[in-house]
Amino acid sequence: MIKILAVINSAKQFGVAANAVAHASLGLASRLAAEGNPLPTKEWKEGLTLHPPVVDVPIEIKLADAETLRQCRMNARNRGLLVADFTQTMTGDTYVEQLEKTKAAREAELEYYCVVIAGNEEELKHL
Amino acid sequence: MSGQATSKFTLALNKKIEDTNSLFAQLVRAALSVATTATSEQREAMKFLNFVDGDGVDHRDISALSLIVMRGTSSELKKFGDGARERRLGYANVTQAMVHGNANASATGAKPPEPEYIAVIAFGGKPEIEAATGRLSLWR
Repeated sequence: MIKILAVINSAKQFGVAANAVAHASLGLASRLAAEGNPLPTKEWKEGLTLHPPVVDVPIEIKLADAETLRQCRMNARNRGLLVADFTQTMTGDTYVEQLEKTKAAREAELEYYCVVIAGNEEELKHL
Repeated sequence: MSGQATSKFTLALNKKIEDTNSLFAQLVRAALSVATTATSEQREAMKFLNFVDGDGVDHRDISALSLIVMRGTSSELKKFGDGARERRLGYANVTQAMVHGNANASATGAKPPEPEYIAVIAFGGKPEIEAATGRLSLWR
């Protein structure tokens, strides 16, 4: 069964981290759907309220420092897992400047705000 | 390429929840849900880009659009979700009953309790999103 692991930079304020992990989660789910492997969803009815479908997979949250995030991302990519990440160059200005700031930075200069990974339990536990 | 976008995401979180790990998990669930259930046209409008760094490493599928994080009470989150639905925006929400697995139960008693909303996320045109946000305040 597929599971989602979100590793979040523990040094970031909640609002900044929430923005980053929401962005990365949107991207990961979109890629899975575009590739024909959408995450499973479930319909919920609560009292008189019929909610829109909600993704029905386990989600694990871990907090870590930026360097651990970098290692985690690299390990996940090396294992062929689907990964979405969010860095400091993806904030502020418009997306044009964000693309330029990212292009101007070496990978080692990127500060990862979060890494979101899809995989099964066995794959994710080795990260 | 001006970089000016006409659409945006807004994520609203329940300000009374103190367990940040739980809040992170449910906002992730809401974000995964709105992208998973989007139509292909909506997904295209979400404008996912490949950010390539100076070493040529891909950082794929990050939206070009802004994503605003806001806070409010459960009833304010409900109004935001209702407003998004009325305006036919893409949206998803997570409630306490979903987390504890007791939604979908048959209602007993005269009036079932109102859902307790944890996270609501919506996507659409900026004017429509801003009209739906109501009394929500920015998460600073």
